[in-house]
Amino acid sequence: MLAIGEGATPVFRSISYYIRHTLRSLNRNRWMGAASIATTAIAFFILGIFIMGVLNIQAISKKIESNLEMVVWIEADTERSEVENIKTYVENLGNVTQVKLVPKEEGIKEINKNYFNSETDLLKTLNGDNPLPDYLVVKVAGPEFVKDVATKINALSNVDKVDYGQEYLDKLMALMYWMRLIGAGVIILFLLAVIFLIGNTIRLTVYARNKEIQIMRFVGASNWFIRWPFLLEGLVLGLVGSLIAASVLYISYIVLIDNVAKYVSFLPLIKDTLIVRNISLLIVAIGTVLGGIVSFLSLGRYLRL
Amino acid sequence: MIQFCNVSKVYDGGTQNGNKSFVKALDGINLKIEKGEMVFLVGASGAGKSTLQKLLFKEESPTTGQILVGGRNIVRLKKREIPVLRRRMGIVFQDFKLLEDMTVAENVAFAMEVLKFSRKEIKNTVPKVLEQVGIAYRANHFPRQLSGGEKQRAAIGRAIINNPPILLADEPTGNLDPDTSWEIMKLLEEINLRGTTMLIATHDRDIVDSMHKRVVTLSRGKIVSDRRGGYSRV
Ligand SMILES: Nc1ncnc2c1ncn2[C@@H]1O[C@H](COP(=O)(O)OP(=O)(O)O)[C@@H](O)[C@H]1O
Ligand SMILES: [Mg+2]
Repeated sequence: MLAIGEGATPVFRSISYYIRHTLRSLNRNRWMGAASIATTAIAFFILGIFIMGVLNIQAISKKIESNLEMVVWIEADTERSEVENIKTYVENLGNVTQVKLVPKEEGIKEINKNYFNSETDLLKTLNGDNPLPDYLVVKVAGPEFVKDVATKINALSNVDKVDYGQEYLDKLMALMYWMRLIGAGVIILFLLAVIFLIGNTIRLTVYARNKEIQIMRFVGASNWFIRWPFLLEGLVLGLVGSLIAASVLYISYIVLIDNVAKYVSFLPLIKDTLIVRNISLLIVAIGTVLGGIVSFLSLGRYLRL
Repeated sequence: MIQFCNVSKVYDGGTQNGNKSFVKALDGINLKIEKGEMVFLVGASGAGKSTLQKLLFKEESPTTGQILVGGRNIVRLKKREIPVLRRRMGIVFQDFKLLEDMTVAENVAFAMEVLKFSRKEIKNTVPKVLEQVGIAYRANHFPRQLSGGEKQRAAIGRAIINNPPILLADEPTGNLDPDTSWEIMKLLEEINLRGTTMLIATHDRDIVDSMHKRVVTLSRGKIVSDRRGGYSRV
């Protein structure tokens, strides 16, 4: 009588068996497989975009939060002496560290220098009529004082408006909230589609290979030997799909940053390619594991051993 | 080698007219088969022949009773132990169960591959086994190119590839003409003479009568006769 262990061989022979059979069934189910891969790619690409979007918004809001400056716009026809009074008042407010007056004469010079060539005299073009208001640049001791100081200054007569970054922060936070909500919704929908499609591909493979599975069971193949090719198939679908997503995400983010960042230099966009790279790698890992888990679960349902 | 002690099998037959129905496929079976025996299991369709074999290779579990194979009780085998049991028995079916996209040699090699034999062992063993079951001249043909008898030879070759001590055959000649059936039975007898314990379910009266082996007759799940010689006429 032949003992059971006899004839057992090094693992690599089984691996070649698994790979051959996985390729065979991927080929047999190629349309279902292609649909799974495409959906996986889309799902993980969207996931990647949302992660990068959220990270960038976080970086921007951090920058805004750390901004201690505000700009106080004085009403255009206010006397200079009155402006000086406002300046003194603001200087004496608590937690204010610095106040700088930018009179409208200086303001127009700035604009002239920054936006026109040296031959143009903007003031002359406007017939000596300067439409700009005076403004104050106010610095406070810490980010937590910005709002309070701004409110006090805003209450003064002759003050038109106080601009400070934290105003935008609220809008940004609202944007982020909606982005997260919609992003999560879209991603969950796509992940459900991924689960359905990969699960269905595995189910079709199980049905297509039903006779083969029966024979394997009756000759005494171990349960894991029968399962492995199916798990591999799911892993491969998840891997290929998320690999596509990660590559497209990585390349398009780098191209985007290269081309867009210089036009919006005031935005602290994430230019560190290491972060995109890590997120791309994370996406590949999640995609592969998801493919494996989905095929494992659908094997539990469709493969009776 | 094989022993059934008071084995019964009741199938859940689904619901009929709102009542749950049950099918008693086997009823109080006591049967002992010695090492090296060749036993025919006969009886009308629905008598329980296939069920008895399925209990042996653990495709079904008995409702009550104990079953010993090679001295070991298989009633409470763990799931991962079932393949080990099956490696000790070759199983042959009426419908051959050959893979259509593989040649005869590949079909036999496939069984060795899933049992993790090395490539070298596979290369050495397959031609010998094909020779033994008389199908070597068709080694590179596909099942669709073979006659029924040739297919069954290939299937038997696959079943004995790892020299199992037990061979179970469920109506192995059910799809074959009388002459071919006779050849297949003779092949199985040859294998039995090399020491393989054999349990063959069939209702081929003429063959059973002329083989002069032990014949166990089932009727409605009960053993109604167990004797050497021919088909019993109950
Ligand atoms: N899986 C099953 N579920 C319910 N009833 C079954 C099942 N398999 C067999 N039976 C019933 O059990 C009885 C015995 O069947 P079987 O063992 O196949 O007999 P045989 O092989 O002698 O023709 C029959 O009445 C059959 O209908
Ligand atoms: Mg039957």
